[in-house]
Amino acid sequence: MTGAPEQRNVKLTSSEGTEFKVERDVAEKSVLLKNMLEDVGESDMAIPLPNVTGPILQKVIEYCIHHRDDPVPAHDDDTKKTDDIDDWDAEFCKVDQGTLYELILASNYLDIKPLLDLTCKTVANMIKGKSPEEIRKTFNIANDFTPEEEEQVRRENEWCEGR
Amino acid sequence: IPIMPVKKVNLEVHSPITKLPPELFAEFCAYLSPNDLFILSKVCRKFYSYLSAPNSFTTQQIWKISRLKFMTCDWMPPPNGMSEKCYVELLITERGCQICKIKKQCKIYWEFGVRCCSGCFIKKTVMIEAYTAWFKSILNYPLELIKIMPFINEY
Repeated sequence: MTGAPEQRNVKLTSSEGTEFKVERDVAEKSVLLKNMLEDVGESDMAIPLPNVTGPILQKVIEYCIHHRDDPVPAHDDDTKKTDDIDDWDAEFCKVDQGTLYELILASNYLDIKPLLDLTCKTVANMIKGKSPEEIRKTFNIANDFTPEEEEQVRRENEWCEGR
Repeated sequence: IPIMPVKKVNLEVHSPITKLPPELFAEFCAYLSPNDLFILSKVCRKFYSYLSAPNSFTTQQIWKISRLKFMTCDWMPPPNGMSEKCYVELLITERGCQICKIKKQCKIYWEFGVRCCSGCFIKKTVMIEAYTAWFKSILNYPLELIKIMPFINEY
């Protein structure tokens, strides 16, 4: 298991059947793929990823290539997460909300914790300090409370509207 | 009104964030302060339900992570039987009295699990002597019951 230079390519197939070739250390940024590759060993078979579309897989690979030399994150304590996003990552996350949402799902499915953290931080930053109405506008969410429910929710925490 | 449903469907289509399962919703909540979480719970029914389920592990976890991250000195777990959300609400002293919601100067009464101003405190509690007499003569309940009621020694 020591670092022998056996840099082989790994083939991945997206949900629509598009094939992607990546180097093994890039693929291993995904804990799911890392475990799979360890189990399967050397193989020329493409790994099917039925939950990830081509364009999203492309983005994920782009992320993994940029971060291929990052140290493996230690088992992190949720309370110690920082909110910093570096420039490359910030630029990477300048995508439409549909893509951001797909990236969250894909990073969760592929088990790429740093990418999940990054995408979730991005969503959190879009929420921070906003009013409920501003959040609805940002994410295009319908206010589906009945007037009675809304009144109840308002009374439950009327103090949080900052006055 | 016939236009309403169409409008609603349209809005839902454009908000993928509301389709995230609770455990992924919890992932981005880990970066939000208790105050942001309270606001988020007012956005729509789904967020409200994710943030207000006292028996859901995920819900408790969301509030706990936010409390530990943003309220640095409050590392004690919530008192027995109190949800994480209620606990956070209780700890945000700057929101003032939880009862009248007007007075800013208030105190947490742990025995009662409430944060209130002195005026509301007097209004909402009784002196033990008065209480004992009332309990015995009017309600005709066994006095032992009084012993298990929450109380504080003050005044």
